[in-house]
Amino acid sequence: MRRLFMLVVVAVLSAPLAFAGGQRAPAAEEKGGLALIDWNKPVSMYERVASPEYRLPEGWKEAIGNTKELTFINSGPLQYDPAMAQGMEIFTNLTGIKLNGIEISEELLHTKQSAMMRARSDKLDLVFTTLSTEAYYDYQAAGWLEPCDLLYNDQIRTLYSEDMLDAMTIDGKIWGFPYIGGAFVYGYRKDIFEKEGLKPPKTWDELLAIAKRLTKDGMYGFAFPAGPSYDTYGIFCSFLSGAGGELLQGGKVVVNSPQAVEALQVMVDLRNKYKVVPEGVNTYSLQQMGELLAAGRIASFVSTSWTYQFIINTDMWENFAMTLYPAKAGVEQTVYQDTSFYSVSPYSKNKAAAYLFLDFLRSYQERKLELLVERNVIYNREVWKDPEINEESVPFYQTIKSAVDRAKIYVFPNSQKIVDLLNVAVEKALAGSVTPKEALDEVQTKVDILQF
Amino acid sequence: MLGKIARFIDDYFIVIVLGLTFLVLFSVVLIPTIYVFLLSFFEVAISGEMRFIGLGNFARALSDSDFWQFTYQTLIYTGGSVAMSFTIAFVCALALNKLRHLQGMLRSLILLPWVIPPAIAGLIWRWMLTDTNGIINDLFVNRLGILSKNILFLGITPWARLSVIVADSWTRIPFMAILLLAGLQSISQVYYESAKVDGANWLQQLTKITVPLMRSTMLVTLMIVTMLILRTYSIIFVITDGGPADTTQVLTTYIYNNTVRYWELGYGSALSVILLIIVVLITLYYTRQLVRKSIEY
Repeated sequence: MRRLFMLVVVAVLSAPLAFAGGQRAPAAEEKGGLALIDWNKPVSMYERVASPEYRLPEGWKEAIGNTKELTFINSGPLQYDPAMAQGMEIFTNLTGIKLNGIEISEELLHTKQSAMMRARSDKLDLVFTTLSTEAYYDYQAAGWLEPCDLLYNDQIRTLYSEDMLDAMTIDGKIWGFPYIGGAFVYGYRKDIFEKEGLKPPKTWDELLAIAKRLTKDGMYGFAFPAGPSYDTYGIFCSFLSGAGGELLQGGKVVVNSPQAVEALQVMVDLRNKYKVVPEGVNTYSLQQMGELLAAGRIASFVSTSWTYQFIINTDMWENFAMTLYPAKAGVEQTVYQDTSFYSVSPYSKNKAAAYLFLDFLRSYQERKLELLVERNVIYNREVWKDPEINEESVPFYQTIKSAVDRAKIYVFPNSQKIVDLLNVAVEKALAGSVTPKEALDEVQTKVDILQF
Repeated sequence: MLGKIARFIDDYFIVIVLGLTFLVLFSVVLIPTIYVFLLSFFEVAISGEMRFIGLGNFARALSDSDFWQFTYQTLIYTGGSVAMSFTIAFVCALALNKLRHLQGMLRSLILLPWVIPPAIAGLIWRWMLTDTNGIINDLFVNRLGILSKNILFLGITPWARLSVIVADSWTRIPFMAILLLAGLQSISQVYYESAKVDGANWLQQLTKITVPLMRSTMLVTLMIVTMLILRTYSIIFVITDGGPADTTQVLTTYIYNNTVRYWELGYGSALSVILLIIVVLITLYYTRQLVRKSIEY
């Protein structure tokens, strides 16, 4: 009996050692793999990537060598990313390379991915980043992204807005490609607006007037999510854009500019002075905006464009509409957007194949899938001109296209910490414990230390 | 050969088993603890490069106003949670002890909150406490009409703090109640019978017999639960994520933010070491109380 027990114990303790791969040595530089690809043949890179059907570049087969599989992280289950799933199938059919998408929830993605990158794991070929949590800038600073300039030329650059190109460029190089994004827009109840004879607001004054008129009978005229730090940051940047302000000035984050103080004052007044937004806005998330609208608790909101997905399967869908978020009178309207990126990992042993997949992911063919199948915000201008892309196939197509054209995107170091600090400032100001100026001045002091 | 191995196992069985146990404890517990301790003396860059800075991280913590605020909030949260959960658990244990014929069924019911993972419990409480469509506000405002407007449980500091304390206590009560019940059942009924004969009422029996004889059990229970609450992360993260405005932020969430979100591994490790010292000091206090002569009749 003792011996049997010992055998079992030894087997149990040995099993992890038998299956664990341990830490691999860092990936050796591929010799000549990537250089074998001619990105401008058989036709120019632009024609390959911007044409309705993607064409592989010459030399790809020789370049990928023995690569049979690529691994990347997908934010959330692929079941809810049918466009990515379809794209993966197309790529595998084209190249024979199997794609392994590791499904990790948004909350755990940064923890798991950064642990793999710190361990210099060669198990990940592509790296997923965003503007705040898995920060594009910080990943580049950590040396966890490979430059992607070889995938961009002057023609390819015309596919993206200046703001997007600026956001992607760090130290004069581009380090990834913009996968999908979320534009902050104004969502509202069409039926209520029509009943009251109202049109969606274009200015802040109109927004306030409408919100006051519609706050009645247990419903609030407007709402914004200022709970989780990322959501609050997006809303703050939306109001800041509406005030004609900029978060980045001279390459530094400035949160206490006159426009920023004005933006925060507007948020505070909407809640505390005019009482046209629910008191609980400082606990609401982006997702809750759709739920509150569907439940008839609010008549309009500012949130990301993908919020409509929480309404699409409800009775409220027919009465829902989206438009650009209003700006202060006289201010040119811009739209704050969050974006995710895919980049090549420097520790990948399959860099040629990884770049090839990136090349495919950013192609017209795949971007159109994202737009048509999942209705995600994409940043390839040519796709938006496709005849199949219209109000029928993509709800609020004009609004989202308009938002993409006016994109305001901020990329800066220590983004997660700055976003958290800003969230605390907004919550303090909303609670009335400090004025907006005091709250933002306090944050700016801490931000200046981070940026020193 | 096999025979020699078999004889070796027979002769040194206890040593082998204990050795394996310590090996597991060493690798899973001790090595990470030592690593965190060593890391606390380094500044760790995003890329993982390390620079020795001695006590720099500890000095930074002591001059960090957020650290002091969150330590204070940790003590408030721990004290409130321990007090609330202990009081309710003790009452539950007394009730269970009285209702001996229903004890089996009630004990199973009372354990329900304990089997729910803390993160799920947090989600349930968050859902119940939201202002616009939470069932608690719905009950008191719409159904019973006791309140005229919704309470912002998660958005106003005092309510948010109370909410996380209540949610945390809810998850602790079952464990504490079971431990206290075990202590109650170890008290001989002879004492109560003698007390009744002497004319003692229930309050006198409670204060003069039950509490003194339960002292060791209560101290052990309080010690274990205090240590568990000091390590709480999931409940607060799910319900308030430290808000509103960091007023429910505690040391564990601050440590998580620094190590995982901000990639300040060195500073986060130093904060972990400080939390460990706090836990050890509290444990030592409880242990000293335990060592004091317990009451015997």
